[in-house]
Amino acid sequence: MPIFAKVGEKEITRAIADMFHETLIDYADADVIIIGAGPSGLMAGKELASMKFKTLIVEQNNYIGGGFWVGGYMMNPVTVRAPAQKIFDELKIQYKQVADGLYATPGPNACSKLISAACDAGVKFLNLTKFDDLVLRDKRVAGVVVNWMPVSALPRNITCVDPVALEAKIVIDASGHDSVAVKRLMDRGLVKFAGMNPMWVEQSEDLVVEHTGEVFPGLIAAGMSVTETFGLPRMGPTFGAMLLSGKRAAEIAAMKLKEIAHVKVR
Amino acid sequence: MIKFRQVHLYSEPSSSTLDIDEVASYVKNMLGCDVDVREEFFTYFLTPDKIDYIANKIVATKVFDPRKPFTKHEPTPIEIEFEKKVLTNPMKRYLGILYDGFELQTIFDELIPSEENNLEHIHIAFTNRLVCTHSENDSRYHYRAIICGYPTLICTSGIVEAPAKPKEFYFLQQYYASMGNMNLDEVKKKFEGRFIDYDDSRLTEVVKGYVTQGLFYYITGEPFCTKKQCRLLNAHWQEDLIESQVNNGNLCQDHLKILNDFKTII
Repeated sequence: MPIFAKVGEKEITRAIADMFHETLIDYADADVIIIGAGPSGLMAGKELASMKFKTLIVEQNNYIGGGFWVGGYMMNPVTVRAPAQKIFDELKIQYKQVADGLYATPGPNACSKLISAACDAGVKFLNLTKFDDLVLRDKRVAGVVVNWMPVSALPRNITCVDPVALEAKIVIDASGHDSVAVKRLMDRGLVKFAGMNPMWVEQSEDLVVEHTGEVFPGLIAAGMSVTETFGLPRMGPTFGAMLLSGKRAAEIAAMKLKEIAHVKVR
Repeated sequence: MIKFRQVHLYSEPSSSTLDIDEVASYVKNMLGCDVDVREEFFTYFLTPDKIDYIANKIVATKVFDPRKPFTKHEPTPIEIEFEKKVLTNPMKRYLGILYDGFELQTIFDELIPSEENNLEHIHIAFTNRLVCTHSENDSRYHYRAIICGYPTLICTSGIVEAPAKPKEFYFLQQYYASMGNMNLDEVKKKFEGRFIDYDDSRLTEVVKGYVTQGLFYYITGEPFCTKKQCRLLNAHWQEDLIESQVNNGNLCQDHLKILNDFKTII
């Protein structure tokens, strides 16, 4: 007596393809596209999807979570400074207080629960998907151009694969140090890009949250992209600002979406 | 030798241990001239209609690459909003952003009304912004605790960051960081007393020294002295700063004589 149901290869293939294409077709026109599935992108996505906005996260890696799996120097405990432990509470992440105002938890614990919360809220993901360019329309960002990540890793003459475009009312650049979307605007002379200053944990976290915002009509910078865009100091292996910056990016995106006429709220 | 009649000191409310009235008494006893204490500089002079204009100008003085001479930064709306928040909330200390000290000084100068904008009135303003100036000697920016000139700017964060802490402090900090330990308080604790920290109980005494240097700039054209026993020592190390300002706190014989000569003419 077999343990598993009798299902053939073709049914499995069709299930994978159907589900993937359902997402792709539905989210080719999203309310918000977030570039990067690190802590700030996941947090922004979770918040926006909770507010019933159609939210898609594109991630170039196979895995979701970015640097949130590891605290620093290949050691996995991740830390946050107060008041970011309230997000741990909200996500039901167990943690311990290690010093006054400093909290720690294993990265896999925090990261998996944040991913889970984003999925539960309704965020859709396209992983192994590399940001290629922005869609610009009427002097505002109106979507992203993406391609399969492996395409960029192969010689151009054997991978002449055109990208595709996904439309969105708001794009959030949560791509970390790469700041891919902000850099694209800089290439065109549309925004100035300052680059990151040396590490200064005590000060950089406040500044990142304070500077989170719309850097160009339709484009919001969150997390380490903020650091790069405004030339703020690096923050080192602590994640409170990433989470709070993601939350603030979501609040700003929600406000902007409400300002845009005909916003599609599910 | 400039014969000034009145010294105006402006408070710095984010530094809880700075007793500006005590500094004023010290200056009055030292020079015998009129000294008054005013609110924080921008609170005192900045009118609501000028906040946007001044915030814009301050953002333009930001320094992003310490290895390059000053180039005017083009402000973005998020930076201007942030700067407005700093201007209207002098109780809060935001660090991590560098400003060109001489460029910043011209903004302070612009706000001083014409009836007081002359060398009979010496203005000594404090800021908690991190200021730096570009040195032609090594072609890079350096943090500064004082910007002599009109008006004199004393940077309370520069007092902490500009003179170097003991070398071993940085070695230990680097070691801790390499181990993923970003808790700077632990490192600070090991060197307690050997440097001036934020809200240090010795801050008022140290500020008296910097104010004296700012005033000597007007008296002789040279704010500094090379003698370690003189309050006019331009301390490059925190331990020298503590020695000259806290442990000693006096002028050398040469500068004492200059001061006495000055007092006979005002």
